[in-house]
Amino acid sequence: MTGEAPDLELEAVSKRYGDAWAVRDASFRVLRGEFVTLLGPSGGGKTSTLRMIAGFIRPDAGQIRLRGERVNEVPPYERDIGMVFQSYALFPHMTARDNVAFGLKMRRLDRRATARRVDEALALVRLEAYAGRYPHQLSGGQQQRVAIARALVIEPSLLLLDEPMSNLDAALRASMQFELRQIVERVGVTTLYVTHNQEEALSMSDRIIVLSSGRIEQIGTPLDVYASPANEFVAGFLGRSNVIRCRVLERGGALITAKMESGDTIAARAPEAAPGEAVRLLIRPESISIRPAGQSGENCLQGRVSQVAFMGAFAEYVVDAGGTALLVQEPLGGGRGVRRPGERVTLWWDPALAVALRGAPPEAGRP
Amino acid sequence: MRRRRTPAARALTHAGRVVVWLLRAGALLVLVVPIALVVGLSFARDAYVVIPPSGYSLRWYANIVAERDFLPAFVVSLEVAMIVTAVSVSAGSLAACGLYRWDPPGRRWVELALASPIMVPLVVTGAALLVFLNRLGVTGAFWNIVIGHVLITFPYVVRTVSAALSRYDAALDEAASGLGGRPWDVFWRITLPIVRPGIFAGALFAFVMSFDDFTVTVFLIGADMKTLPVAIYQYMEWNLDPTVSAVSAALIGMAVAATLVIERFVGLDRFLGIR
Amino acid sequence: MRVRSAAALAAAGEREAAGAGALLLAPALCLFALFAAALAAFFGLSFRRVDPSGAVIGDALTFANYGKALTDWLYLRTMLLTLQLSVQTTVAAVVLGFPLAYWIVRSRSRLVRAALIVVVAVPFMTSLIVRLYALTLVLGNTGLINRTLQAVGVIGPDDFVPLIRNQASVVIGLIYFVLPFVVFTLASALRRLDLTVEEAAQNLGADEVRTFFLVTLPLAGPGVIAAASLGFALSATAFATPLILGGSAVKMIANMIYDQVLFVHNVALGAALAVIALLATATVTSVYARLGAGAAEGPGA
Repeated sequence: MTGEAPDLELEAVSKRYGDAWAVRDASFRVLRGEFVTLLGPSGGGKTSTLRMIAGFIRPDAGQIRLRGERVNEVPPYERDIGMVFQSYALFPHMTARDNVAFGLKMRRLDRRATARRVDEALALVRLEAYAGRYPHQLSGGQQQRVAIARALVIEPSLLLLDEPMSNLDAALRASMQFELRQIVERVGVTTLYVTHNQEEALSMSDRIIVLSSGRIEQIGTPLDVYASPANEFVAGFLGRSNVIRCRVLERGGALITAKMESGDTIAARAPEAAPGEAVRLLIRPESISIRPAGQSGENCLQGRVSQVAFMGAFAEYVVDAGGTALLVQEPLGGGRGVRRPGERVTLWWDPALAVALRGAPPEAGRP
Repeated sequence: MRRRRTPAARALTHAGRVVVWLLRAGALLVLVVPIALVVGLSFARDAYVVIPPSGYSLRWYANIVAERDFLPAFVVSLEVAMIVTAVSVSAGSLAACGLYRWDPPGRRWVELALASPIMVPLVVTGAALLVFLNRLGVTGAFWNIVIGHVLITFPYVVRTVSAALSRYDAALDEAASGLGGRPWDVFWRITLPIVRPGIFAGALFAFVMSFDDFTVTVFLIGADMKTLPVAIYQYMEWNLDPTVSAVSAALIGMAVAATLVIERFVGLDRFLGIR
Repeated sequence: MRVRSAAALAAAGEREAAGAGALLLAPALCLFALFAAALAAFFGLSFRRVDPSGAVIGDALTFANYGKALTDWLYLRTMLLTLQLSVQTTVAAVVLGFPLAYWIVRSRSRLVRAALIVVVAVPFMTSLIVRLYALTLVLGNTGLINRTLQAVGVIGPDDFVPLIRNQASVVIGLIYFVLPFVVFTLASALRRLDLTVEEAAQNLGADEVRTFFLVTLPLAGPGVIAAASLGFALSATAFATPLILGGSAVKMIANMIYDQVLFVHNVALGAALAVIALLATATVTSVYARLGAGAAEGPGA
């Protein structure tokens, strides 16, 4: 496997519209067989990146390479890529079967082989019975499957999906995520998936590329990106987190002790921070545990519950502690009820679950 | 990763692109060249049409006033157009509002009736009106022309105002009457002002159509009364000097002004149904 | 205070709305009535008997005028010529107009789109006479085309290619007349299409040419039919264009109607010809309505 060119490689790719940069200096690779997600808020540059890879727009700077070959100037119809569009873009004047067969027709496959492969593709997405229907006779979920079949039947080197779940209702979305992942694995195609939905990204991907305002914020496995966010944007985009400003007191291996503005000392993971440095601590609400008030010890903060929200399987509390308001999530059930506002508590967390970010806080205007 | 296509396929794609751009250039040439030529030649010094002109002068513009026919014809065209616009806009806007508010049972038929003059060729309308109005004998050439122009322009006003109304949010009416407005007040103070751009566009269109009309007018003119397009036509038949170019350039100027005004106030693409 | 039931109030409200609506529609409907009356009277004349000088005699109704219009070679020839010129015009206008309309709809630059629309709209808003005069300047014996050919050396300094007072000039004039209508109708229809399907086709391997014929054109079909039928209706009943560019050499059916009514004073025959012209264009337009309903109508006939 080593030495083989990645299926997709972007090197310092940029695209601008007038004065605004849609994509700025993006570099990443997708290896053979990987399922990589481009995750980011709307307008963040994901779709522009995807369209450059597909060949509908040209980058203003940088290289796009498919299996090692530079394709910046290659038109879309000469790239061996299958794409599923957000609106599915099925040909309204053709049946599902003809839609799926279109790519094979362009490749001049003979009729018998085309029919066989179309049948296989429709079977893969479980739509054999609907082959003769027109797009307007199909439900949203069925149209999506036709789009997937159409993109896969040509056996592309790379599969691109542009927010394919955004037009489905929530229940269908969950089952389709699972099914899509299965289909893609069965076929073994390298996949680049674009979405703004972090749950999809976390559950489906081998790796996630977080993109915001045209810049890549972080690339990593779902666990990396969730548990060790590179900055506040990533931390805030995937799940929520608390941000605590403090100053490093001392370093011990990978952990640091830091002092909050209120004077409490807390510990977190920060392999590179130096004593005296100002850092921001990120700790997720579900990582903070609530203990009876008055407990002392390492990493304990005394606080008072100020707001309560019942969320069904868990409750969310805003706790005033350490001079700041912290969001805390606590599972319910097993006899534990919802706490009341005003209750005094101790907050504690495992230092390994908190990450300290160095450097200047994000500029105003950037998420 | 790259699908290699045959040289023949590539050549075909390339040829296709060339053909498309040639057609675009051709269409643009057809649309632009004649008008540009007229405007250019209106400034020529020569007493007959010479391309390219030997020199430039404004004398043909001055000659417009000197020629006996053009000024009176212009005045007639202007008077007719103003009356026609007033009548068409009134009848048309009211009708559009009536359709919008009432939604009568035979709505499709009413819409069809109001749009019918557009579907009848201008020649037929002109001929029919000539025969009919002459037999009635009530009106002279001037009012015949006014009637003719009103009939061919009011459907457009109905259409533009209806389009403006269709984008109107009915919730505004409900909010206003909920606040105590009676139907007439709601109509006058809320609906009408919002729909004004549509009315304005319809009015401008009616004015231009009336001013420009030739086919219907030519059936209805009298011996000593003519509109500007007719005067131009008659002059053209007998004279070869560029006075016609000057008058034409003036009318082109009017068309450009109207186009820009509509674009500024309503948006040409919306007016023409392209957006 | 008398309390009325909700139903009675609603009914009263509806009656009031109906009354207001009828009042608002009245002026326009009166105009329509006038229009309909004029047409009816005129068409009625087509069934009347006429003497050799063209004056109407007696009260009897007859089909003689239609018979004459449809069997006399003079009129038949004109109708066939009209058909021929209209078809040529329509095809040329649609072929010329489609790429332009597509460019307008697909252009990402607001400036380009606005400029194109203005370029198409200004001739549209210019008086027909002015446009036809402009064409004579282009096509005339000492016009732009001939002068260019002389300057380039294709023809001698005193020669000219006759580009006026013949069928070619009338077709060119009709194309010029019809093109803005066709472009706007096509643009209106095209903008309703979701053109992502073109990207999908390209992604699947179809180049621009194949995408056009396999995807764009079938989907734009109704719009093309709408534009073509509008173009046909306009060119078939054109009056000023053949008058000025065709002279006495090229007469179309509209010119015949004018001649009959105003020169020969045979109103009955003129009316018959008018009815035939109207029926022909109405047939074409209703064929479109059946084939391509849903596509946009452009402004006007």
